[in-house]
Amino acid sequence: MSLQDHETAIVALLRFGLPQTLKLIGVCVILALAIGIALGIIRSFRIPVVDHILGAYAMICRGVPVMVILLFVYSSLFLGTPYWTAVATLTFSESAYVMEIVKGGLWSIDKGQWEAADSLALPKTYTLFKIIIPQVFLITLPALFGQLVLLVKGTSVASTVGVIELTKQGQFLLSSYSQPIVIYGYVLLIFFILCHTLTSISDRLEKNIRRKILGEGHE
Amino acid sequence: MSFKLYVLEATLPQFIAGTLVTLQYTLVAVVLAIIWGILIGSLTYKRIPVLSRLCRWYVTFFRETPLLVQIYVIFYGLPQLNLLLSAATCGVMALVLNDGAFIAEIIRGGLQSIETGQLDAAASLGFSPLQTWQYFLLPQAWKKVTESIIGMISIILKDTSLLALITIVELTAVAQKVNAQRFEPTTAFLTAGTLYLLMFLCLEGIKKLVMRRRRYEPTGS
Repeated sequence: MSLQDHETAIVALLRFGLPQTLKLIGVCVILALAIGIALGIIRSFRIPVVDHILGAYAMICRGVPVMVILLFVYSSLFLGTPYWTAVATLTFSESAYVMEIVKGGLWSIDKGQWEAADSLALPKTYTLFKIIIPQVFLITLPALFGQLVLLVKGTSVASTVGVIELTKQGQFLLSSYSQPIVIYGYVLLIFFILCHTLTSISDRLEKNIRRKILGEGHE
Repeated sequence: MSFKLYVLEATLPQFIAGTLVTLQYTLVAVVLAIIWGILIGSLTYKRIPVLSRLCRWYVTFFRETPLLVQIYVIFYGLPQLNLLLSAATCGVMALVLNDGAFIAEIIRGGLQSIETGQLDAAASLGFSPLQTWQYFLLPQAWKKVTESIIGMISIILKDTSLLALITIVELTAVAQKVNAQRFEPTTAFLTAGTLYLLMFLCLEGIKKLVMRRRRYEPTGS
């Protein structure tokens, strides 16, 4: 491969692969957060039958490979395009993880806080929005970022049902330049930049949150 | 779009064979990934000038890139370097490099959670650094991270499903094959999913048992 070829390959990946990967990530993050937070709040109430159903849902997502879910959605549910197949699959599995994270965050808040707010005669909605939710948000943020990194990596599996994202674009390039190490190397590099950026942000946030909750000098 | 029992009956032997292949790969990958993870994790903990930094870079890179692309690089890339390995070797190699990086991070965390006073104590009793690692650090770290390691086993189990993409006929590939032969995707993939779930539940059960036994063991702290 000449220098020109390297440039062409990188440009192709960034122009035709990356936007689709980012679109997948964006749509799935919004959907998974909305669904996951809603289900997490429902789970925190521990409603008998509902809780079992949601627990089973979480268990399926933890125990069954994304690949199998993806193939099932792709060939059994007919959602039209490969893109929506991937969105449905990734949202389905990420929502479960977000649900568990949110549930854990809500459980970690001591009941005493509600009682304390009550004894100060604070209204319930005020307590929820000004005291409980900010804490849950801070506690769950690092875990949610970790999940986001997993989602970014998970989008590569969408290539197997024909979504033309980074990985698939890499496969296309292999037909013109038979240099798998170089081409996939670039794909790895772009993914790494994406994930590493997120991890760095998450690390910094975690430090700040520790300081916020525990006070100075607890890093 | 419905589950057909007669299809399952006809294809059950294939599914069982696929499950066994999946278990084989999981077992080999788990054993090697744990050994690899302990090695790399200990090296990053020890702070050896150049080596530790290299290990750290390796761990970071492999944890923050997709396993699927790693599998492709190894499977399609190595022949380019005149390294002709079987799909099985490539698959196991990818799993070990990827999940070993995660295990290394877990092991390092376990090692770092041990008070440094123990190092001084061991040194003052005349133990060499290697003996200290072997008799004091590793056993304690291992105890602390057992649960996470068993969690990693179920992640490796799920990861083996990607090996279907490099011609390895494990459970997911069997489901694809059954689907192609009989056009019964629902039956094929629900069966595969259920089998994965059963294996996962077995692992969860093992985790519970191990952790329960742990509770009755005397601990140092």
